[in-house]
Amino acid sequence: MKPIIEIQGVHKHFGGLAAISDLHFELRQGEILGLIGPNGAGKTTLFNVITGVFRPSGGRVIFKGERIDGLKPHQIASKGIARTFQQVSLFKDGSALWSVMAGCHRHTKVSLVGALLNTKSYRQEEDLVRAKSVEILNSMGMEEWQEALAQNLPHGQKRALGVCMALATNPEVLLLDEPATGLTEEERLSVMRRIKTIRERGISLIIVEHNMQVITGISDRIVVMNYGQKIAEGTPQEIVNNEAVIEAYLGRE
Amino acid sequence: MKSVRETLPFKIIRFAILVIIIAVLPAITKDPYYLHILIMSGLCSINAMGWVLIVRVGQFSLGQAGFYAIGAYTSALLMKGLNFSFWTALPLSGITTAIIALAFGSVVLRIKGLYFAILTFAFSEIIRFTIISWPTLLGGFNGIIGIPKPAPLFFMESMKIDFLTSRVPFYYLMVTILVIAALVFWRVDCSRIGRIFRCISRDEDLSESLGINIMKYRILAFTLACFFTGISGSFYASYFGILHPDLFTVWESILIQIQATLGGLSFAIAGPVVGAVVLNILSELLRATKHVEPVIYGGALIVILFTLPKGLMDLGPRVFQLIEKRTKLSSSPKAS
Repeated sequence: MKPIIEIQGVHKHFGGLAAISDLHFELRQGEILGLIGPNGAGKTTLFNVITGVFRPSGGRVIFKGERIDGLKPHQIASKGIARTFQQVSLFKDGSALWSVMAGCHRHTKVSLVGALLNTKSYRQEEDLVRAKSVEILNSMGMEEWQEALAQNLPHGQKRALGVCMALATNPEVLLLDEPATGLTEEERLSVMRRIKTIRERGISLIIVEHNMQVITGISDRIVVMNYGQKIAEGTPQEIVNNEAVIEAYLGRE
Repeated sequence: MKSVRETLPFKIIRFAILVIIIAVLPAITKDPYYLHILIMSGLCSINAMGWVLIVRVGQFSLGQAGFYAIGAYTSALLMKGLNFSFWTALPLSGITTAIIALAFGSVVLRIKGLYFAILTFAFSEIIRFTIISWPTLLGGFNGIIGIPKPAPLFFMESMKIDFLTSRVPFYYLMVTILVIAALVFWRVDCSRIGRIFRCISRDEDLSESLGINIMKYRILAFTLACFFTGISGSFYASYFGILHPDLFTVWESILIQIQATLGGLSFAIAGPVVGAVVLNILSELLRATKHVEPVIYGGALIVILFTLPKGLMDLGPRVFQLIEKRTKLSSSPKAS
Protein backbone atom coordinates (compact mmCIF):
# COMPACT_ATOMS: atom_id res chain seq x y z
CA MET A 1 0.00 0.00 0.00
CA LYS A 2 1.28 3.40 -0.93
CA PRO A 3 1.97 5.88 1.83
CA ILE A 4 -0.35 8.85 1.81
CA ILE A 5 1.31 10.73 4.65
CA GLU A 6 4.99 10.46 5.44
CA ILE A 7 6.52 11.86 8.60
CA GLN A 8 10.22 12.18 7.86
CA GLY A 9 12.51 13.08 10.72
CA VAL A 10 10.08 15.59 12.21
CA HIS A 11 11.20 17.61 15.22
CA LYS A 12 9.18 20.15 17.14
CA HIS A 13 10.64 22.27 19.91
CA PHE A 14 8.94 24.80 22.14
CA GLY A 15 11.78 26.77 23.60
CA GLY A 16 13.89 24.18 25.36
CA LEU A 17 11.23 21.50 25.31
CA ALA A 18 11.37 18.88 22.56
CA ALA A 19 7.75 17.92 22.05
CA ILE A 20 8.61 15.72 19.07
CA SER A 21 12.05 14.27 18.29
CA ASP A 22 13.14 12.70 15.05
CA LEU A 23 9.83 11.05 14.27
CA HIS A 24 9.57 8.68 11.31
CA PHE A 25 6.46 6.83 10.25
CA GLU A 26 3.93 6.73 7.48
CA LEU A 27 0.21 6.44 7.01
CA ARG A 28 -0.66 4.07 4.17
CA GLN A 29 -3.55 4.65 1.83
CA GLY A 30 -6.77 3.13 3.15
CA GLU A 31 -5.43 2.13 6.54
CA ILE A 32 -6.49 2.99 10.04
CA LEU A 33 -3.38 3.90 12.02
CA GLY A 34 -3.64 4.07 15.78
CA LEU A 35 -1.46 6.58 17.61
CA ILE A 36 -1.07 5.94 21.30
CA GLY A 37 1.15 7.01 24.14
CA PRO A 38 1.00 8.44 27.63
CA ASN A 39 -0.23 12.01 28.13
CA GLY A 40 2.32 14.50 26.92
CA ALA A 41 3.84 12.08 24.43
CA GLY A 42 3.36 14.58 21.63
CA LYS A 43 0.38 13.07 19.83
CA THR A 44 -1.76 16.18 19.60
CA THR A 45 1.36 18.21 18.80
CA LEU A 46 1.95 15.86 15.90
CA PHE A 47 -1.59 16.44 14.67
CA ASN A 48 -0.97 20.16 14.90
CA VAL A 49 2.24 19.79 12.89
CA ILE A 50 0.54 17.71 10.19
CA THR A 51 -2.36 20.16 9.87
CA GLY A 52 -0.10 23.20 9.75
CA VAL A 53 -1.04 24.75 13.08
CA PHE A 54 2.61 24.33 14.04
CA ARG A 55 5.55 24.52 11.75
CA PRO A 56 8.00 21.68 12.41
CA SER A 57 11.37 22.72 13.78
CA GLY A 58 12.92 20.12 11.51
CA GLY A 59 12.07 17.33 9.17
CA ARG A 60 9.39 17.03 6.53
CA VAL A 61 5.72 16.18 6.30
CA ILE A 62 4.77 14.68 2.94
CA PHE A 63 1.20 14.31 1.71
CA LYS A 64 0.67 12.35 -1.49
CA GLY A 65 4.26 12.90 -2.45
CA GLU A 66 4.11 16.65 -1.85
CA ARG A 67 5.74 18.54 0.99
CA ILE A 68 3.16 20.26 3.17
CA ASP A 69 5.16 21.38 6.19
CA GLY A 70 5.19 25.15 6.29
CA LEU A 71 1.81 25.52 4.62
CA LYS A 72 -1.01 27.30 6.40
CA PRO A 73 -3.76 25.25 8.07
CA HIS A 74 -6.45 26.24 5.59
CA GLN A 75 -4.20 25.30 2.68
CA ILE A 76 -3.51 21.87 4.14
CA ALA A 77 -7.20 21.37 4.86
CA SER A 78 -7.95 22.30 1.25
CA LYS A 79 -5.53 19.65 0.06
CA GLY A 80 -7.53 16.98 1.81
CA ILE A 81 -6.46 16.54 5.42
CA ALA A 82 -9.18 17.05 8.02
CA ARG A 83 -9.11 16.68 11.78
CA THR A 84 -11.11 16.74 14.95
CA PHE A 85 -10.01 18.29 18.21
CA GLN A 86 -9.34 16.74 21.58
CA GLN A 87 -11.49 19.34 23.31
CA VAL A 88 -14.42 19.27 20.97
CA SER A 89 -14.38 22.45 18.93
CA LEU A 90 -17.74 23.65 17.66
CA PHE A 91 -19.35 26.82 16.34
CA LYS A 92 -21.22 28.53 19.11
CA ASP A 93 -24.81 29.46 18.29
CA GLY A 94 -24.81 27.36 15.14
CA SER A 95 -27.05 24.38 14.58
CA ALA A 96 -25.57 21.02 13.70
CA LEU A 97 -26.82 21.27 10.14
CA TRP A 98 -25.51 24.81 9.75
CA SER A 99 -22.10 23.73 11.01
CA VAL A 100 -21.82 20.87 8.56
CA MET A 101 -23.04 23.04 5.69
CA ALA A 102 -20.30 25.50 6.59
CA GLY A 103 -17.78 22.69 6.28
CA CYS A 104 -18.95 21.99 2.73
CA HIS A 105 -17.79 25.39 1.52
CA ARG A 106 -14.73 23.91 -0.12
CA HIS A 107 -16.82 22.40 -2.84
CA THR A 108 -18.80 25.43 -3.82
CA LYS A 109 -17.81 28.46 -5.79
CA VAL A 110 -17.26 31.60 -3.77
CA SER A 111 -19.34 33.68 -6.06
CA LEU A 112 -20.22 37.12 -4.82
CA VAL A 113 -22.33 37.73 -7.90
CA GLY A 114 -24.13 34.45 -7.45
CA ALA A 115 -24.86 35.23 -3.83
CA LEU A 116 -26.03 38.75 -4.60
CA LEU A 117 -28.34 37.79 -7.43
CA ASN A 118 -29.42 34.46 -5.96
CA THR A 119 -28.78 32.84 -9.31
CA LYS A 120 -30.00 29.41 -10.21
CA SER A 121 -26.53 27.87 -10.01
CA TYR A 122 -26.07 29.39 -6.56
CA ARG A 123 -29.34 27.92 -5.35
CA GLN A 124 -28.57 24.56 -6.86
CA GLU A 125 -25.23 24.47 -5.08
CA GLU A 126 -26.95 25.37 -1.81
CA ASP A 127 -29.40 22.50 -2.27
CA LEU A 128 -26.52 20.13 -2.94
CA VAL A 129 -24.68 21.36 0.14
CA ARG A 130 -27.78 20.88 2.23
CA ALA A 131 -28.42 17.38 0.91
CA LYS A 132 -24.82 16.37 1.44
CA SER A 133 -24.80 17.76 4.97
CA VAL A 134 -27.96 15.87 5.88
CA GLU A 135 -26.44 12.69 4.49
CA ILE A 136 -23.27 13.13 6.52
CA LEU A 137 -25.20 13.82 9.71
CA ASN A 138 -27.37 10.76 9.13
CA SER A 139 -24.33 8.59 8.52
CA MET A 140 -23.05 9.55 11.95
CA GLY A 141 -26.38 8.89 13.66
CA MET A 142 -27.36 12.53 14.02
CA GLU A 143 -30.78 12.37 12.32
CA GLU A 144 -32.67 13.80 15.30
CA TRP A 145 -30.09 16.41 16.13
CA GLN A 146 -29.91 18.37 12.91
CA GLU A 147 -31.56 21.56 14.11
CA ALA A 148 -30.14 21.42 17.61
CA LEU A 149 -27.63 24.07 18.59
CA ALA A 150 -24.13 22.67 18.71
CA GLN A 151 -23.52 23.75 22.29
CA ASN A 152 -26.70 22.04 23.50
CA LEU A 153 -25.80 18.62 22.16
CA PRO A 154 -24.93 15.77 24.49
CA HIS A 155 -21.24 14.96 24.64
CA GLY A 156 -21.39 12.01 22.27
CA GLN A 157 -23.27 14.03 19.65
CA LYS A 158 -20.80 16.90 20.02
CA ARG A 159 -17.98 14.57 19.12
CA ALA A 160 -20.00 13.17 16.24
CA LEU A 161 -20.64 16.70 14.97
CA GLY A 162 -16.92 17.40 15.02
CA VAL A 163 -16.41 14.38 12.80
CA CYS A 164 -19.28 15.45 10.52
CA MET A 165 -17.74 18.87 9.99
CA ALA A 166 -14.41 17.29 9.14
CA LEU A 167 -16.09 14.87 6.73
CA ALA A 168 -17.89 17.76 5.06
CA THR A 169 -14.58 18.96 3.63
CA ASN A 170 -14.33 15.70 1.65
CA PRO A 171 -10.96 14.74 3.04
CA GLU A 172 -8.66 11.96 1.95
CA VAL A 173 -7.11 11.75 5.39
CA LEU A 174 -8.94 12.17 8.69
CA LEU A 175 -7.11 12.74 11.94
CA LEU A 176 -9.29 11.85 14.93
CA ASP A 177 -8.13 13.13 18.29
CA GLU A 178 -9.63 10.98 21.04
CA PRO A 179 -12.96 10.21 19.36
CA ALA A 180 -14.09 7.86 22.12
CA THR A 181 -13.21 9.87 25.21
CA GLY A 182 -16.12 10.47 27.53
CA LEU A 183 -18.42 8.02 25.80
CA THR A 184 -20.38 5.09 27.19
CA GLU A 185 -19.51 1.52 26.23
CA GLU A 186 -22.36 1.43 23.75
CA GLU A 187 -21.35 4.74 22.20
CA ARG A 188 -17.78 3.52 21.88
CA LEU A 189 -18.82 0.45 19.93
CA SER A 190 -20.93 2.69 17.74
CA VAL A 191 -17.96 4.98 17.11
CA MET A 192 -15.80 2.03 16.16
CA ARG A 193 -18.35 0.89 13.61
CA ARG A 194 -18.64 4.39 12.16
CA ILE A 195 -14.88 4.76 11.86
CA LYS A 196 -14.76 1.56 9.85
CA THR A 197 -17.52 2.93 7.61
CA ILE A 198 -15.48 6.08 7.07
CA ARG A 199 -12.55 3.97 6.00
CA GLU A 200 -14.78 2.12 3.57
CA ARG A 201 -15.43 5.43 1.86
CA GLY A 202 -11.75 5.50 0.96
CA ILE A 203 -10.55 7.79 3.72
CA SER A 204 -7.31 6.97 5.54
CA LEU A 205 -7.31 7.62 9.28
CA ILE A 206 -4.94 8.32 12.10
CA ILE A 207 -6.63 7.91 15.45
CA VAL A 208 -5.33 9.04 18.80
CA GLU A 209 -7.02 7.12 21.59
CA HIS A 210 -6.38 6.12 25.16
CA ASN A 211 -8.94 3.35 25.31
CA MET A 212 -7.05 0.17 24.40
CA GLN A 213 -10.18 -1.74 23.53
CA VAL A 214 -11.06 0.84 20.90
CA ILE A 215 -7.63 1.30 19.46
CA THR A 216 -6.77 -2.38 19.18
CA GLY A 217 -10.24 -3.09 17.85
CA ILE A 218 -10.06 -0.81 14.84
CA SER A 219 -6.42 -0.14 13.99
CA ASP A 220 -4.58 -1.94 11.23
CA ARG A 221 -1.31 -0.77 12.71
CA ILE A 222 -0.34 1.17 15.79
CA VAL A 223 2.44 3.68 16.41
CA VAL A 224 3.41 4.26 20.02
CA MET A 225 4.94 7.54 21.16
CA ASN A 226 6.56 8.54 24.41
CA TYR A 227 8.37 11.77 25.21
CA GLY A 228 8.03 12.87 21.60
CA GLN A 229 9.65 9.79 20.12
CA LYS A 230 8.38 6.68 18.45
CA ILE A 231 9.03 3.74 20.71
CA ALA A 232 7.16 1.04 18.84
CA GLU A 233 5.26 0.33 15.66
CA GLY A 234 3.34 -2.73 14.56
CA THR A 235 0.08 -4.58 14.54
CA PRO A 236 -2.17 -4.34 17.62
CA GLN A 237 -1.11 -7.83 18.57
CA GLU A 238 2.57 -6.93 18.46
CA ILE A 239 2.09 -3.68 20.34
CA VAL A 240 0.14 -5.16 23.20
CA ASN A 241 2.99 -7.56 23.89
CA ASN A 242 5.79 -5.07 23.27
CA GLU A 243 7.97 -4.59 26.33
CA ALA A 244 8.87 -0.99 25.64
CA VAL A 245 5.20 -0.12 25.36
CA ILE A 246 4.26 -1.86 28.56
CA GLU A 247 7.11 -0.10 30.31
CA ALA A 248 6.02 3.28 29.01
CA TYR A 249 2.50 2.85 30.33
CA LEU A 250 3.13 0.94 33.50
CA GLY A 251 6.70 1.84 34.39
CA ARG A 252 9.53 -0.57 35.07
CA GLU A 253 8.86 -3.56 37.32
CA MET B 1 -47.86 26.52 14.02
CA LYS B 2 -46.37 29.75 12.80
CA SER B 3 -47.52 32.90 14.49
CA VAL B 4 -49.47 35.40 12.40
CA ARG B 5 -46.44 37.64 12.22
CA GLU B 6 -44.46 35.17 10.19
CA THR B 7 -46.90 34.29 7.45
CA LEU B 8 -46.02 35.50 4.00
CA PRO B 9 -49.02 37.77 3.35
CA PHE B 10 -48.28 39.59 6.61
CA LYS B 11 -44.67 40.06 5.63
CA ILE B 12 -45.65 41.43 2.23
CA ILE B 13 -48.16 43.85 3.74
CA ARG B 14 -45.62 45.03 6.29
CA PHE B 15 -43.04 45.56 3.59
CA ALA B 16 -45.48 47.34 1.30
CA ILE B 17 -46.49 49.74 4.07
CA LEU B 18 -42.84 50.53 4.67
CA VAL B 19 -42.23 51.18 1.00
CA ILE B 20 -45.25 53.45 0.71
CA ILE B 21 -44.32 55.46 3.77
CA ILE B 22 -40.77 55.98 2.56
CA ALA B 23 -41.93 56.92 -0.91
CA VAL B 24 -44.49 59.54 0.10
CA LEU B 25 -42.67 60.97 3.09
CA PRO B 26 -41.50 64.12 1.28
CA ALA B 27 -45.05 64.80 0.21
CA ILE B 28 -46.24 64.67 3.80
CA THR B 29 -43.53 66.82 5.17
CA LYS B 30 -42.00 69.35 2.87
CA ASP B 31 -40.03 70.72 5.79
CA PRO B 32 -36.38 70.46 4.79
CA TYR B 33 -35.41 70.03 8.43
CA TYR B 34 -37.15 66.65 8.71
CA LEU B 35 -35.82 65.59 5.36
CA HIS B 36 -32.36 66.49 6.56
CA ILE B 37 -32.71 64.20 9.57
CA LEU B 38 -33.85 61.37 7.35
CA ILE B 39 -31.05 61.91 4.86
CA MET B 40 -28.44 61.95 7.61
CA SER B 41 -30.02 58.83 9.08
CA GLY B 42 -29.69 57.17 5.72
CA LEU B 43 -26.01 58.01 5.45
CA CYS B 44 -25.37 56.78 8.97
CA SER B 45 -27.28 53.59 8.19
CA ILE B 46 -25.04 52.76 5.26
CA ASN B 47 -21.91 53.30 7.33
CA ALA B 48 -23.36 51.30 10.20
CA MET B 49 -24.28 48.42 7.90
CA GLY B 50 -20.70 48.37 6.65
CA TRP B 51 -19.42 48.32 10.20
CA VAL B 52 -21.66 45.37 11.02
CA LEU B 53 -20.34 43.45 8.02
CA ILE B 54 -16.83 43.87 9.38
CA VAL B 55 -18.03 42.65 12.78
CA ARG B 56 -19.42 39.60 11.00
CA VAL B 57 -15.85 38.53 10.21
CA GLY B 58 -14.80 39.03 13.79
CA GLN B 59 -13.13 42.41 13.47
CA PHE B 60 -13.89 45.64 15.25
CA SER B 61 -13.20 48.71 13.16
CA LEU B 62 -12.71 52.13 14.73
CA GLY B 63 -11.71 53.66 11.43
CA GLN B 64 -14.88 53.97 9.37
CA ALA B 65 -14.76 57.76 9.67
CA GLY B 66 -11.47 57.64 7.79
CA PHE B 67 -13.03 55.84 4.85
CA TYR B 68 -16.01 58.15 4.97
CA ALA B 69 -13.56 61.03 4.64
CA ILE B 70 -11.73 59.39 1.76
CA GLY B 71 -15.00 59.01 -0.12
CA ALA B 72 -16.05 62.58 0.63
CA TYR B 73 -12.76 64.27 -0.21
CA THR B 74 -12.16 62.18 -3.31
CA SER B 75 -15.55 63.22 -4.60
CA ALA B 76 -14.95 66.86 -3.71
CA LEU B 77 -11.59 66.90 -5.47
CA LEU B 78 -12.90 65.15 -8.57
CA MET B 79 -15.76 67.60 -8.85
CA LYS B 80 -13.97 70.81 -7.96
CA GLY B 81 -10.51 70.06 -9.29
CA LEU B 82 -11.23 67.95 -12.34
CA ASN B 83 -14.75 69.11 -13.07
CA PHE B 84 -16.20 65.64 -12.94
CA SER B 85 -19.94 65.42 -12.64
CA PHE B 86 -21.37 64.07 -9.43
CA TRP B 87 -22.68 61.02 -11.25
CA THR B 88 -19.14 60.08 -12.27
CA ALA B 89 -17.54 61.10 -9.00
CA LEU B 90 -19.88 58.98 -6.92
CA PRO B 91 -18.84 55.55 -8.17
CA LEU B 92 -15.22 56.63 -8.57
CA SER B 93 -15.09 57.71 -4.94
CA GLY B 94 -16.53 54.39 -3.88
CA ILE B 95 -13.96 52.52 -5.91
CA THR B 96 -11.09 54.66 -4.64
CA THR B 97 -12.16 54.06 -1.05
CA ALA B 98 -12.46 50.34 -1.77
CA ILE B 99 -8.98 50.17 -3.25
CA ILE B 100 -7.45 51.95 -0.26
CA ALA B 101 -9.41 49.66 2.07
CA LEU B 102 -8.16 46.65 0.13
CA ALA B 103 -4.55 47.74 0.46
CA PHE B 104 -4.85 48.71 4.10
CA GLY B 105 -6.90 45.64 4.97
CA SER B 106 -4.49 43.20 3.34
CA VAL B 107 -1.91 44.25 5.86
CA VAL B 108 -3.98 44.99 8.93
CA LEU B 109 -6.72 42.36 8.89
CA ARG B 110 -4.26 39.69 9.98
CA ILE B 111 -4.20 41.35 13.36
CA LYS B 112 -6.99 40.63 15.73
CA GLY B 113 -9.08 42.23 18.38
CA LEU B 114 -7.95 45.30 20.22
CA TYR B 115 -4.87 45.87 18.09
CA PHE B 116 -6.87 45.88 14.91
CA ALA B 117 -9.21 48.42 16.45
CA ILE B 118 -6.27 50.61 17.41
CA LEU B 119 -4.77 50.37 13.94
CA THR B 120 -8.02 51.38 12.26
CA PHE B 121 -8.35 54.25 14.69
CA ALA B 122 -4.79 55.32 13.87
CA PHE B 123 -5.57 55.10 10.17
CA SER B 124 -8.61 57.28 10.58
CA GLU B 125 -6.61 59.89 12.45
CA ILE B 126 -3.81 59.78 9.88
CA ILE B 127 -6.37 60.58 7.20
CA ARG B 128 -7.58 63.49 9.28
CA PHE B 129 -4.06 64.81 9.84
CA THR B 130 -3.32 64.46 6.15
CA ILE B 131 -6.34 66.62 5.41
CA ILE B 132 -5.24 69.21 7.96
CA SER B 133 -1.65 69.29 6.76
CA TRP B 134 -2.48 69.74 3.11
CA PRO B 135 -4.32 73.05 2.91
CA THR B 136 -3.60 73.64 -0.75
CA LEU B 137 -5.10 70.41 -1.99
CA LEU B 138 -7.40 69.30 0.79
CA GLY B 139 -8.42 72.56 2.36
CA GLY B 140 -6.78 71.98 5.73
CA PHE B 141 -8.56 73.45 8.71
CA ASN B 142 -10.64 75.76 6.59
CA GLY B 143 -12.03 72.85 4.73
CA ILE B 144 -13.34 72.66 1.23
CA ILE B 145 -16.33 74.75 0.35
CA GLY B 146 -18.54 75.13 -2.64
CA ILE B 147 -18.72 71.49 -3.59
CA PRO B 148 -21.16 71.32 -6.48
CA LYS B 149 -24.52 69.70 -6.13
CA PRO B 150 -25.36 66.92 -8.56
CA ALA B 151 -26.19 68.06 -12.02
CA PRO B 152 -29.89 67.89 -12.86
CA LEU B 153 -31.23 64.65 -14.24
CA PHE B 154 -33.55 64.70 -17.19
CA PHE B 155 -36.23 62.09 -17.62
CA MET B 156 -38.48 61.85 -20.61
CA GLU B 157 -37.71 65.33 -21.93
CA SER B 158 -40.01 67.35 -19.76
CA MET B 159 -39.29 66.00 -16.30
CA LYS B 160 -36.27 67.54 -14.65
CA ILE B 161 -34.87 66.53 -11.28
CA ASP B 162 -33.15 69.56 -9.87
CA PHE B 163 -30.86 69.17 -6.89
CA LEU B 164 -30.23 72.86 -6.48
CA THR B 165 -33.60 74.06 -5.36
CA SER B 166 -34.86 71.44 -2.98
CA ARG B 167 -33.78 68.64 -0.71
CA VAL B 168 -36.38 66.23 -1.98
CA PRO B 169 -34.24 64.86 -4.84
CA PHE B 170 -31.46 64.27 -2.32
CA TYR B 171 -33.92 62.34 -0.20
CA TYR B 172 -34.89 60.04 -3.05
CA LEU B 173 -31.28 59.62 -4.13
CA MET B 174 -30.40 58.71 -0.55
CA VAL B 175 -33.20 56.16 -0.46
CA THR B 176 -32.03 54.64 -3.74
CA ILE B 177 -28.45 54.30 -2.56
CA LEU B 178 -29.62 52.98 0.79
CA VAL B 179 -31.82 50.35 -0.83
CA ILE B 180 -29.00 49.19 -3.10
CA ALA B 181 -26.55 49.02 -0.20
CA ALA B 182 -29.09 47.25 2.00
CA LEU B 183 -29.79 44.67 -0.69
CA VAL B 184 -26.10 43.96 -1.16
CA PHE B 185 -25.39 43.70 2.56
CA TRP B 186 -28.50 41.61 3.14
CA ARG B 187 -27.77 39.18 0.34
CA VAL B 188 -24.18 38.73 1.47
CA ASP B 189 -25.22 38.23 5.08
CA CYS B 190 -27.75 35.49 4.43
CA SER B 191 -25.72 33.73 1.76
CA ARG B 192 -23.10 31.04 1.87
CA ILE B 193 -20.53 33.81 2.16
CA GLY B 194 -22.29 35.16 5.23
CA ARG B 195 -22.22 31.70 6.71
CA ILE B 196 -18.46 31.56 6.29
CA PHE B 197 -18.16 35.06 7.77
CA ARG B 198 -19.96 33.84 10.87
CA CYS B 199 -17.71 30.80 11.15
CA ILE B 200 -14.72 33.08 11.14
CA SER B 201 -16.07 35.28 13.89
CA ARG B 202 -17.13 32.33 16.04
CA ASP B 203 -14.02 30.16 15.91
CA GLU B 204 -10.99 30.97 13.79
CA ASP B 205 -9.00 27.80 14.43
CA LEU B 206 -11.96 25.61 13.63
CA SER B 207 -12.65 27.59 10.48
CA GLU B 208 -9.06 27.18 9.35
CA SER B 209 -9.19 23.46 9.99
CA LEU B 210 -12.16 23.34 7.62
CA GLY B 211 -10.10 25.00 4.92
CA ILE B 212 -11.53 28.50 5.24
CA ASN B 213 -9.08 31.17 4.12
CA ILE B 214 -9.76 33.72 6.81
CA MET B 215 -7.81 36.59 5.25
CA LYS B 216 -9.61 36.26 1.95
CA TYR B 217 -13.03 36.61 3.53
CA ARG B 218 -11.98 39.35 5.90
CA ILE B 219 -10.62 41.37 3.00
CA LEU B 220 -13.84 40.78 1.08
CA ALA B 221 -16.00 42.02 3.94
CA PHE B 222 -13.79 44.98 4.71
CA THR B 223 -13.50 46.14 1.10
CA LEU B 224 -17.22 45.82 0.48
CA ALA B 225 -18.06 47.72 3.65
CA CYS B 226 -15.63 50.52 2.86
CA PHE B 227 -16.85 50.78 -0.74
CA PHE B 228 -20.29 51.76 0.46
CA THR B 229 -18.86 53.98 3.17
CA GLY B 230 -16.99 55.81 0.43
CA ILE B 231 -20.17 56.13 -1.62
CA SER B 232 -22.02 57.65 1.31
CA GLY B 233 -19.08 60.00 1.84
CA SER B 234 -19.34 61.17 -1.74
CA PHE B 235 -23.06 61.83 -1.33
CA TYR B 236 -22.35 63.73 1.86
CA ALA B 237 -19.85 66.00 0.13
CA SER B 238 -22.33 67.16 -2.48
CA TYR B 239 -25.28 67.27 -0.12
CA PHE B 240 -23.49 69.36 2.47
CA GLY B 241 -21.39 71.33 0.03
CA ILE B 242 -18.73 71.79 2.68
CA LEU B 243 -16.09 69.44 4.06
CA HIS B 244 -14.04 69.92 7.17
CA PRO B 245 -11.64 67.60 9.03
CA ASP B 246 -13.67 67.92 12.24
CA LEU B 247 -16.51 66.10 10.55
CA PHE B 248 -14.42 62.93 10.44
CA THR B 249 -13.15 62.41 13.96
CA VAL B 250 -13.07 59.14 15.86
CA TRP B 251 -16.35 60.13 17.44
CA GLU B 252 -18.00 59.58 14.07
CA SER B 253 -16.56 56.06 14.01
CA ILE B 254 -17.83 55.41 17.50
CA LEU B 255 -21.22 56.84 16.64
CA ILE B 256 -21.53 54.32 13.83
CA GLN B 257 -20.86 51.54 16.30
CA ILE B 258 -23.37 52.86 18.78
CA GLN B 259 -26.05 53.10 16.13
CA ALA B 260 -25.48 49.55 14.95
CA THR B 261 -25.35 48.12 18.45
CA LEU B 262 -28.39 50.03 19.58
CA GLY B 263 -30.37 48.76 16.63
CA GLY B 264 -29.34 45.20 17.25
CA LEU B 265 -26.20 43.48 16.04
CA SER B 266 -27.93 40.31 14.94
CA PHE B 267 -29.77 42.28 12.27
CA ALA B 268 -27.42 43.18 9.46
CA ILE B 269 -29.81 45.66 7.84
CA ALA B 270 -32.65 46.56 10.14
CA GLY B 271 -30.40 47.01 13.14
CA PRO B 272 -28.19 49.73 11.69
CA VAL B 273 -31.12 51.50 10.05
CA VAL B 274 -33.27 51.56 13.16
CA GLY B 275 -30.34 52.53 15.32
CA ALA B 276 -29.30 55.32 12.97
CA VAL B 277 -32.80 56.75 12.67
CA VAL B 278 -33.49 56.66 16.39
CA LEU B 279 -30.17 58.18 17.33
CA ASN B 280 -30.37 60.92 14.72
CA ILE B 281 -33.85 61.86 15.87
CA LEU B 282 -32.80 61.74 19.50
CA SER B 283 -29.80 63.88 18.76
CA GLU B 284 -31.93 66.50 17.00
CA LEU B 285 -34.53 66.51 19.76
CA LEU B 286 -31.84 67.13 22.33
CA ARG B 287 -30.23 69.91 20.36
CA ALA B 288 -32.13 72.46 22.39
CA THR B 289 -30.91 71.15 25.71
CA LYS B 290 -27.30 72.12 24.90
CA HIS B 291 -25.17 71.38 27.96
CA VAL B 292 -27.31 68.59 29.26
CA GLU B 293 -27.39 66.87 25.89
CA PRO B 294 -24.52 64.42 26.46
CA VAL B 295 -26.01 63.38 29.78
CA ILE B 296 -29.46 62.70 28.38
CA TYR B 297 -28.02 61.09 25.26
CA GLY B 298 -25.76 58.82 27.25
CA GLY B 299 -28.49 58.12 29.75
CA ALA B 300 -30.91 57.15 27.02
CA LEU B 301 -28.35 54.77 25.54
CA ILE B 302 -27.78 53.11 28.89
CA VAL B 303 -31.48 52.71 29.57
CA ILE B 304 -32.14 51.24 26.13
CA LEU B 305 -29.24 48.82 26.29
CA PHE B 306 -30.23 47.61 29.73
CA THR B 307 -33.87 47.00 28.87
CA LEU B 308 -33.19 45.70 25.39
CA PRO B 309 -29.73 44.14 25.33
CA LYS B 310 -30.34 42.71 21.90
CA GLY B 311 -31.05 46.15 20.58
CA LEU B 312 -34.09 48.08 19.51
CA MET B 313 -35.07 45.49 16.92
CA ASP B 314 -35.83 43.20 19.81
CA LEU B 315 -38.57 45.57 20.96
CA GLY B 316 -41.19 44.14 18.63
CA PRO B 317 -40.65 40.49 19.58
CA ARG B 318 -40.47 41.39 23.26
CA VAL B 319 -43.75 43.30 23.14
CA PHE B 320 -45.43 40.43 21.32
CA GLN B 321 -44.11 38.02 23.92
CA LEU B 322 -45.58 40.15 26.68
CA ILE B 323 -48.91 40.34 24.88
CA GLU B 324 -48.96 36.59 24.35
CA LYS B 325 -48.22 36.01 28.00
CA ARG B 326 -51.02 38.34 29.04
CA THR B 327 -53.58 36.76 26.73
CA LYS B 328 -52.58 33.29 27.92
CA LEU B 329 -52.98 34.32 31.53
CA SER B 330 -56.37 35.91 31.02
CA SER B 331 -57.79 33.09 28.90
CA SER B 332 -56.58 30.20 31.07
CA PRO B 333 -59.05 28.93 33.70
CA LYS B 334 -58.42 30.06 37.23
CA ALA B 335 -56.93 27.47 39.56
CA SER B 336 -59.50 26.06 41.90
